[in-house]
Amino acid sequence: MITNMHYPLLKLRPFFGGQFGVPGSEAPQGLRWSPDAVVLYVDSGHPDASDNADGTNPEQPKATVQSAVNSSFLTDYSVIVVNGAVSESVVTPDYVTGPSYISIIGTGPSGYSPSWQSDATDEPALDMRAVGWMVQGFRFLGQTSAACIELRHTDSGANDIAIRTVIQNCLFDGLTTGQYGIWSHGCYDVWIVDCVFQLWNNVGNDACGLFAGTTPLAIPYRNHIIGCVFWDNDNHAIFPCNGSEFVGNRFQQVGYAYTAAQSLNTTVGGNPGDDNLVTQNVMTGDYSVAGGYSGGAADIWIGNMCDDIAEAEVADNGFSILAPT
Amino acid sequence: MAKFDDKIKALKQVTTMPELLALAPEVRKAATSKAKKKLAEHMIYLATEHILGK
Repeated sequence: MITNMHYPLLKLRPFFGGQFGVPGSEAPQGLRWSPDAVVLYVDSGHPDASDNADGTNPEQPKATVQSAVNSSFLTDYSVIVVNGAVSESVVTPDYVTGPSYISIIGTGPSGYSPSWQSDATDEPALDMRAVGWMVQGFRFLGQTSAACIELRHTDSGANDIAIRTVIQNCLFDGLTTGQYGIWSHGCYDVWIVDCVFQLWNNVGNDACGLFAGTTPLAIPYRNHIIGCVFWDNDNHAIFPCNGSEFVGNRFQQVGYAYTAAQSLNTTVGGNPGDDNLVTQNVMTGDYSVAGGYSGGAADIWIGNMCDDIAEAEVADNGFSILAPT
Repeated sequence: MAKFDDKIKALKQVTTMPELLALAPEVRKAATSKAKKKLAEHMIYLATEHILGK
């Protein structure tokens, strides 16, 4: 399938002319070719929102994110701007049929808006299956039997691969009943930056903010978990991986409402990870395997700020010098 | 030794994800040392990159 086909885009001539001093604003908008990358608008609350709209005009946006994701206008490097709460389980195309490097941007001023929750308890809000998509600025809300974002890596289909995904400035709120914030199936080169994971708690106490599950091809490799906050979860990050970095995160073992059984596992039995770099994180509570911190044999866990100076792996000044045992 | 090298060579030839999914466990099985296991993981990663080509 050709994904970079240029489709004719019909527009009525605007009622306003060019603006002095703004290059290109006077360009006539009659019959023209669409550019390689477009911007599509989604606004579920807009009175003129419709999935029959092409979505290129913010005054006539699409009503659903899924419609924008499926749009034939969507070529590599396009942007989907989302305003208004989202109540959908959105599935991206796979890397063969779909475009790459799409940005889905919530227009709220912070990671607290707009909100996005799956409309099914057992389906993720966003099921990512293509290469290099970026998600930014949403408040994801949990569901009882699914993750907010699921990163596919051949577990659902051989061509479902979400490597090079970027997830930044999002809040993952488990609402005290949700299962997972982000669930990876082994994608490479994933960046998770400046996100908050909180209130991942359920009856079985197996909820988790950041989780690596079934990995048919490989466990995560070259992942970057940077500047995230983990607090008030049953488990913060159970994320066996190789050659990845955890830098500048804050793991609060005993939270305001819940205590984490596992705070950071870069290796787990049966799915061992190794050679990870874990540094400059705040790691509160019992800095030991029993306490919920565990790394691979060749992981480097140095320069983390820990209050458990009774451990031999933590220097008297509170900086870690070794991985926990 | 030769078996592992053969598997790595075969890994460089795969062009589809189903092929890679079938071959990856064989490469891991042929990796008998820690160094080889790490090389296997990295080569599987590179093969994925090569197939996707993006």
